[in-house]
Amino acid sequence: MDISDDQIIERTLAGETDAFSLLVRRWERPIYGLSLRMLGRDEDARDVCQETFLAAFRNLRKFRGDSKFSSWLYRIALNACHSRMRKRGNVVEQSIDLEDDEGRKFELADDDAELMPDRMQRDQLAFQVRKALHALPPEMRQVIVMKEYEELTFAEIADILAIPVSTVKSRLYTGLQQMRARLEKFRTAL
Amino acid sequence: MNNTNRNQLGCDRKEDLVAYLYGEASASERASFERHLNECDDCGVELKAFGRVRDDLSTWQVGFAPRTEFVPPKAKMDLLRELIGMFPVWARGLAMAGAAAAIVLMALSVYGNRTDGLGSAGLSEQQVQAMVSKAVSDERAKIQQQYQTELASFKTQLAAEHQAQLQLANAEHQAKLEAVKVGLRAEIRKANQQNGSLRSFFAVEEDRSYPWGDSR
Repeated sequence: MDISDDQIIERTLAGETDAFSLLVRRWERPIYGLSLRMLGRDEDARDVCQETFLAAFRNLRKFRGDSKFSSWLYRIALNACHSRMRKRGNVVEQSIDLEDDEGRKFELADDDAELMPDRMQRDQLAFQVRKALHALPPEMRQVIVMKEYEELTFAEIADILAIPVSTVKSRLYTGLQQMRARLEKFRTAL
Repeated sequence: MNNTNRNQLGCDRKEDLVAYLYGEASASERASFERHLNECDDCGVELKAFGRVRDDLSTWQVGFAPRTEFVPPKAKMDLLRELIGMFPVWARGLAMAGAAAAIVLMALSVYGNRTDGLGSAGLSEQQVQAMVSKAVSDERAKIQQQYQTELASFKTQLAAEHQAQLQLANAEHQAKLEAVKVGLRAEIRKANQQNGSLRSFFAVEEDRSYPWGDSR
């Protein structure tokens, strides 16, 4: 049976500091995914990941257990993302990594869409998705990322962001509308 | 399900639409929204369009996550303990004595300020000085004692090591001496043998030179 987050926290607080590595292994992927989708750059996402776990470790005693550990961790990661965005003035469109998951560079071809291989079309679409997502205001982007990719419930997102559920739904709706407008423009251009 | 948020087309059920889209509506909410969809084409169109956006969003998958190198940072007290541990006992004692004296002086200075002079606290300046001197001399005595103990321990250790080295050197010396003796004995034996051979040789030669048996 898997040991729970709370049990690992108890062990860590009891002095078994290495136990915290279990939490890192368990949550590094979601935190990296959230950071990458919020910031658009692998390097920034890695840094945020590191910062998040370090901050969580240092402040573990302050974690009261009112909400889930993962919610607390997401909150720390989002704060780190926002702080990074503020530092660089939220310049995202120019800084999105132009690479896919396998590290291949996107090439924005001028070819006729009918002649484009499926893979290339899909890559271009993925790139447009990144651009459209990063063109959203951060408060909408984070809600879409948490709902769409992290598959959190409205209540969990509301808890992480300390906002009402209705605000979460409203931001999600507006974000999806803006994404729709941008992506439909791209489809028309094709 | 009552809300006043209207979508771009004037429908007020955008939050219901989102809950329905992500499957978070309750059974009754779902039924209610499905009834609404039969009447509202705009919501139907928007629902389909949002479904396409979700499909598009799913094209961005993070294939891997780099491993996060995490080394738990050491607590400040642990670092302090390590730092203190690097110094010898006498230095630690000296530092402690200094700190104790500083604390006493600081406390007295604060006390002095608060009582507007030492006299009113019932302690004369001489008494205070005597207390400080006593505290310092006690600490000094403690340090000296620790130092003496440490020194005695070093001496014992050194003597034992010296003795062991002497025994080792003596044994080596004896072994070498024995080897030389054995070599010398062998040499003497060899020389004696050669000497005997020479004698017998010359004895034969004499016999040949003087066959009549007279050696001279």
